[in-house]
Order: sequence, then C-alpha cells, then structure tokens
Amino acid sequence: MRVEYINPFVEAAYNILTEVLGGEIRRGELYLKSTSIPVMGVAALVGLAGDVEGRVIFDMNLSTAMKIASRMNQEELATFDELAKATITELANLITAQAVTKLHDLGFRFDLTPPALFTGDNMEISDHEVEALIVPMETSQGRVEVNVAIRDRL
Amino acid sequence: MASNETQITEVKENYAPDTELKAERVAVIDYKMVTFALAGKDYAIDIMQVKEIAKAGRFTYVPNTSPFVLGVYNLRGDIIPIIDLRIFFNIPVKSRENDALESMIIITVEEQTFGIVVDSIDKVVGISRSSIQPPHPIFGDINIKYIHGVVENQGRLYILLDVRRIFGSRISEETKKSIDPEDLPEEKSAPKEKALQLKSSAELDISFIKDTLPALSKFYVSPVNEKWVSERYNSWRDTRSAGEMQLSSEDDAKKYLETFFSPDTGNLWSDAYSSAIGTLLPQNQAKQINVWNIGCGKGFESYSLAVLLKEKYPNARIRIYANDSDLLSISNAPMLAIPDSQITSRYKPYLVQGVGGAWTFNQQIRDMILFEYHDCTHQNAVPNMDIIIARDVLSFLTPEKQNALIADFSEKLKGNGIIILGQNEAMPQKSGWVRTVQGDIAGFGKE
Amino acid sequence: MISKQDFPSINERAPEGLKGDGSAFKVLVVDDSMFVAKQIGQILTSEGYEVVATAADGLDGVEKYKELCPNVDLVTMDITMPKMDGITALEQIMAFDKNAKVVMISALGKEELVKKALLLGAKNYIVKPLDRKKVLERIASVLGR
Repeated sequence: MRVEYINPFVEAAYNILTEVLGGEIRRGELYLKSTSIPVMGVAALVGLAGDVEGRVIFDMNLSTAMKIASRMNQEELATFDELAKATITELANLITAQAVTKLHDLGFRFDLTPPALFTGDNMEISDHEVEALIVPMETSQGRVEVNVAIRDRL
Repeated sequence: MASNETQITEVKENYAPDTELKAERVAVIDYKMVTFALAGKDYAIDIMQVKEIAKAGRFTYVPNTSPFVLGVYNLRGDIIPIIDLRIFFNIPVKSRENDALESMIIITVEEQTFGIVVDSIDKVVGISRSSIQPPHPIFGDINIKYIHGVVENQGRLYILLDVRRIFGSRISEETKKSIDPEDLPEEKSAPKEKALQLKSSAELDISFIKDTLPALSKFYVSPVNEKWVSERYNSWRDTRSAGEMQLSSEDDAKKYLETFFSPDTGNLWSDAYSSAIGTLLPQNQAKQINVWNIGCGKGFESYSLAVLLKEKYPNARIRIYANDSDLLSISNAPMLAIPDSQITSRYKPYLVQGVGGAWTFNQQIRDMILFEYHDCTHQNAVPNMDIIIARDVLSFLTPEKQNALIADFSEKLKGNGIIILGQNEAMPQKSGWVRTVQGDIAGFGKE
Repeated sequence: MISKQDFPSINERAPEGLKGDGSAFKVLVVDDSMFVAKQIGQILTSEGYEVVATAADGLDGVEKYKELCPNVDLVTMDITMPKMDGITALEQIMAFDKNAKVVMISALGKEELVKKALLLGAKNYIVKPLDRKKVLERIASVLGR
C-alpha cells in the first residue's frame, strides 16, 4: 500500500474510536497479510474508489461488536439486531470518511461507497489474495482490526 | 590430507577405538542440533525444528493459568506464545530484569510456532545420529519423557529435548510415536536429511555456516548466492582462529555477511556505480518505462535510480514502483531528507531545500516514484516491467519464496527487460535466464 | 465536559424545537443508517423538534418531501446513500421548493463537497461524529432562531 495512505487511516481510526468510545485506545503494530479476508466474525466493509480501488474492512468479534454498538447507542443492546449492525456500519463509515478527508487534503482523490456488514464464517469476499495492511486497535470493548486492501489505479 | 586425518582421529578418541567399521560409522555427521544452556546445563534441539533464533525483550505478558507461558510475541504478524522452559521444567530461574533481552529459540511443532526462552544460545553442533544414547533417569532434572536422548560431543554432554513431546498435542501422542522415524532404530535416517560424508573440515564448516545463517540472520543459502557463500569462507577463515570458524551468534553472522551487500546500500549511488548500471541498461525508445524496485529500504536506491533513468531516457515517462516490507524504513521515503555528505554534484541539481534546511528531491523526481509498504512474497499487483532492481532481496527469503519471486519476475518482466540482483547474487543457472555483464555488474534477461 | 446546556430539562430557556406558538418544528430526516437516523432523532426530539418522517435513501427523501410539503420546516440530509445520493436529492428538493431548508450531514468534510452543497442551496453542513451542541446550534441558526 502506498506509504502516504497509511497515516490517514491510522489517525482516523484512533481519532474516531477515541471520540465515539471514550476509554483508552491503543494501536498495535502494523503488518501486512497476504490475504485480505477478515477473520474475527463481524466485518464492516467500505468500498474505495477514485485514485485507488479496494476496500477497508473493520474486523472484530461478535462480543466486541455488541459492546461497541451498546456504547455508541448509550444503552445495552441484547442482540446483534438491525440497530446494532447499523451502528457498527456507521463506525466503519466514520473512520473511513475521516481517512478519506485527510487523504484529500494530501492531494489524493478517494471516494467511498456505502458500507456493508458481513457476519459469520460464510464471508465470501472476492479477490481475497490481495495483500492487506492490518492496523490493530485495542479498545476497552475489545480488538478491532482495520484491514485495508487497496491498490493504486495504474 | 593431514587435517582430515586429524579430525577423524579426534572423533575416534571419544568413542571406543575399534574396528574400521565403527570409525566409518562415527565419521558420518547426519544430525545437527542447536545447543543452548538452561540453568547451567547443556541442552540441544534438532535444527530441523528450529525456525530461527532471536533476542527479544518486548513480549506482551499475558496473565495465564500456565506459569510457563510468559506471554506472546509478534513475530512479523504472527502472534506466537512464548514459553519459559526453565519454569516448565521447574528449574530455578534467576529473576529477570524487565528490559533485558532474552535469548529465544523459535521452533515449529505440528504447524504451531512457539518461542522458547533459554539462558543462552551456544552454537550448531553436528553429530552422528548413532551416537545419541537413550535417556537415563540419572540425567533427570527434567522429566525423562521430554528427553529424546543424550549425546556427547567434544567433551560436552548435551541433553537432547524432544520438542514434539513437550509441545505436541496430547491427543495425537500415540499416532506420533508410531510414525516417528527416529524411534525405529532399524530404519535408515529420514530421506530428508542427507548423510554428510566427512570430506574436509572446510566443507563441513561451510555446511554448518549454511545451516546457521538462516537462523541467525534470515539469510537463506540457495543457488542464488551459494557461490558467494563458499567463496566468502576463504576470507572468513583468515580472520578466525581454528575451531572458531562456525557462526555462534548474530554478531558472527553479521560479520560473515559484511562483504555480501551490494555497493552503496543505504546511500545514494556513486557516480561510478550509477554509470556502471547505466551502461548495463538497454536502449529503449518507449514513451513509458516501468521499473520495479524491490527492497528499496529508506529510498536512497529509488532516488538514485530515478536520477539515473531520467538522464538515460530523457524522453520517456518513467514510473518506479518501489516496495519494502520494513515499514519503519520505507515510511519516510516519500520525504527522504538527504544528508549533506551525500549531496554530490550529480544529485544537487535535483534537490530542493525545505523549511528547516533539509534537502529533499524535487517534485519532478518524487513524482516518478511510488513508494509502497508491500511484501513482495504476497500477490504483486504491478504492471509489466522494463527493469527490475532487486538487490539483496532474494537472499533473505526462504528458498521456496525465492523461487516463487523469481517466477513472478519471469511473469512480470517484458521480453526485452532486464533484472539486476545483488552484487553477490545471480539467477540460478539453466533456469531460463540469460546473463549480461558490464564490468563487474551482471544483469539478467529472459531467454 | 458536560455542562448545564447538555441537559435539556434543566435549561431555563424554552426548547429550541418549539415555535412561538408552541408547536414543534417539523423535521424530515434523510439517512440510510438506522443508527444515525436514531441519533439525530434523539437529539432533535430532546430539544422539542418533531421528526415527521425518515427516509433511507435520496429518492425516498425527495418523495417524502414532496408529499409532506408544506408541513416540513427542515430536512437533514446524509450525503452518501444508495439509489440517490444526498447532493442529487438536495438538487431535486431545491428545484421543487426554492425555500426548502436543507442541512447536509456527512462524515466527509471535504471542502469541495461542502461548497457544492452550499452552492446548490443547502443552508448548512454538519460533520459526523455528531456533537449534540453543534447539531442544535446549526439547526437553530438555519431556522432563524
């Protein structure tokens, strides 16, 4: 992934998570994976277009998703219902949008597509051999991995 | 040859001096082990199970019910558990300073990777399998079931650990036993391990060095660099005293590899080197020239290339795809500040001074280069290339990954394209590559 | 910091969502996220506004506006939505009713988009994550309070 794209995603993840979750947010060490398949159970996906093609996936387990959704709604949600899903989707949207805005300020034209939420083990994400940059974020609600798989339009 | 005979005599003295037959048997080195110390005693592990050796301080301590699991460690993306064998075996441990670096052996058992902390790591020792004696309760600091055997070598007694029994899943323990070739004394040694005849101590040393380089410095010996590794041994010999030829620490490995690296690594290329590379590159009238620069590190190489190519192909649009999998190195490449000492007349015209006095390359040069944090052993999504510059990259990949990357090169390189590897690297012979040489620099093209 | 202003019931002043005659300002919320629509709804309702309808995409938003007009005082419009995005919906609403009061709500703070929306007739622009105070301020200013 282009070096200049990295910081905007890292900063946006940190900023938004801090703002909407409160509590301590800690960033883990970044690394590259040979596949962009999410692995933790709940994946919110935001497509990217413009100067690049690809997507950002926010990967977390169900328990973390429930806790985050509850926190953001300021009420205990009992099941991973439509509202909880919409909440996680919105979180993905907020982080990606802030990253895109920062990238715009750096001169890169990115567009994002409306987010989608996937759950369970039947995640068939196409083009899974695309390399992904993983930015692990530790929150009080659990681990969220920001999984960025994009390539420059040649 | 005198040295050979001395070696055989030495070995003979440790065992009952006997018939020719016995001498022949002990002279065969067919088992190598990594030796280390644990509470003052010598232990060893089969080198085939050792993935690498590391010094680490920064584990993430994990509160755990098993006290011997110290925590976890991030080994380039893989989160692996770290075990303290001293605690596991109930051997008293001297208290650990929080920021002291621990010696760690990374092993793989049944596809699971672990790190084990030990007191200190010694060296790789080669022995003959037949000299491994079964464990005797008398060696019992630790439970006998974890000991594969004991072996004596050059006056020291090593307790050989059976890591599969220590770490393997309990459920398959029975099946493991039945398929373990080492338990069958009649069986010839497993086909994977070739018996190394004791030809000469030099050949043996080189063979040991080839085995330790990966563990100590992630340098993998293969047809790509074999020639250099062997030639290097000659100059290495001169700097070491007899018996000290082997690499027993990361420092040793570093010293051995000192002469490996290509010219101007980590610096802007000198006029001489640039012009040598320039002469090697073919004429090209194309409007667009694609260049793949793998392992660009901090970026000095890419900028040197950009200047060179701009001058060689003034009418073409040049696009350099620069990758490195070391985030720390490459993250600053787009804005690399050139130290005063490297601002020569060659590069000055392309540099601009920013706020604070730092010199960086001008926009035109920077626009030629796309720096990406990327692991070239993952899918490579680059277009077809006219030039590939991969200096000292292949040698730090496992042989399978080397071959996979070379296959990628073959696929991505245009018919009339050229690849430049490290100064001491070469494409394997008879593998479809043609070599061109200019002075002492070689380039490779497709047949 | 939480201040008295954040607790609507402790406030001495009248809720901003009420007109002089005591009736509530009517708001149409257009957003494809159930969560965001709920958030905006909660903020508005807590200050006396009435959410008369919610639309989950631009097309539905335009239709509902046409249906409810003139009983809509304000529209909150998300930008990124399926079927029809917020900018296009804004255009259509403005073409239908040049006095429409539309406030754009988006996670994207790009200058271009903001400018474009304002040029097309949007009265104001709020960037997410939503801050209760800011939302109420901007909406109040659009409604001339």
